[in-house]
Amino acid sequence: MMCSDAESHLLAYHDGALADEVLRAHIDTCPACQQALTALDDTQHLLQRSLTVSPSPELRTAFYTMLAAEKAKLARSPKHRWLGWWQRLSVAQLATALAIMFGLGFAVSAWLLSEPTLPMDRNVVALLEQSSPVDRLAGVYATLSLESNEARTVALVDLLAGEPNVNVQVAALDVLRREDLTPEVAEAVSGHLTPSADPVVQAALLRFVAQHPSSENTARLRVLLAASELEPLIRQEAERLLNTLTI
Amino acid sequence: MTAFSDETLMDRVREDDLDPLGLLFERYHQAVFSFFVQTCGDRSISQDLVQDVFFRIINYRASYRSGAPFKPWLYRIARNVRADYLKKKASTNLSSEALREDQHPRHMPDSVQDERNAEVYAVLRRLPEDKRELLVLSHVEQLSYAELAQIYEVSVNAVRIRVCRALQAFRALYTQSTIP
Repeated sequence: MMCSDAESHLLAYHDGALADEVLRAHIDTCPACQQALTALDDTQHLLQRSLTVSPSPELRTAFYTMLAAEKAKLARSPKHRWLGWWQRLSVAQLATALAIMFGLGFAVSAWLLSEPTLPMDRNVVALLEQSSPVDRLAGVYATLSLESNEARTVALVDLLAGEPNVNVQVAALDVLRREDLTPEVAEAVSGHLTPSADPVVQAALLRFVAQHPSSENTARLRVLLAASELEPLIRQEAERLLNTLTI
Repeated sequence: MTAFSDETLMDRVREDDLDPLGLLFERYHQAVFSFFVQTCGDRSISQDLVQDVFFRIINYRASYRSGAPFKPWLYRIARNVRADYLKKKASTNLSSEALREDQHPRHMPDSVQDERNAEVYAVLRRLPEDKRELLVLSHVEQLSYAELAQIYEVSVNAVRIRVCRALQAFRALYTQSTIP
């Protein structure tokens, strides 16, 4: 029995889960294996001392924003509208409804087949133009289903130009941050980083700017830092980012 | 299974009641974030990846098998999100400077105030990805061998052997790095 045979089984021995008696007997009596076992134990303790990391509060905001949008999308899905209607009918009413549906079905289906289906883009754009911020949030995440990256980018950049709601802005920036953008588009988005922007939006824009370094963004950071009323955390992050960009 | 066990909550999410996902988020987002920071290195990207995990939970909720252990399923999704991120990063032909950034990230964990933790973090980053991931899951996230066996779809014994080898590799690098 060699130590090299036993070395992969030290953990099993440590946990009392080593069934092989020969291996167990070797480790019990071998000074080198016992030393290796102690080293393994020390290493485990070293790692288990928590390397704690905590996310920033923006993560929670982003998650609940996304959850609200998904719930809104689900509530509007045809499946849910259909089920709600179904559950409210009695058997007699249901039978009558089905008869009427079959009777109308032939005429209606012919009409439907002759009408062009609305392209998905228009539905997404319609959501983005709604007055309710919850609908616009749903619209932001609905752009993820668009096949065309360009369509998604254009829709979200247009939205950002006039969007008043902070959660919708942050959601749009989060989606745009994952896209491959042309320098012109990145510049258009970065232009929203101003001292007067909401701090949560500023934080999202700083994350965006970090991925799109440019001389314009360096100047933009200097303008931001010159503002007297800037949230301390935003100032700290902007300073860090400026140092990074000017190295 | 208690009324608010992870599995019960996920069953409700699977049935299109998305509210319980908020509770699952509160329970796990910090652990999942920690997993990404320890294995990918960048805090900002790790936050995006956490968001991706919960987005996928919503989109793939129908694939959750009712009553199956939730935690291994969650971490399987997290591993897939990480793999997709690394694949995308590799395909964008990052410059060597950016790749060095990944080896020695500027965004260090919160607790890296004392030197010991800084050394542990630096050694973890030098390990091959598979060993690093395994040590983070087993010793930082503290998943059980049974849970790891479900995530990696191997036997508990195989997990133990792999963890043992990863610990030995870590120990070797750590000893080298702390020799004056």
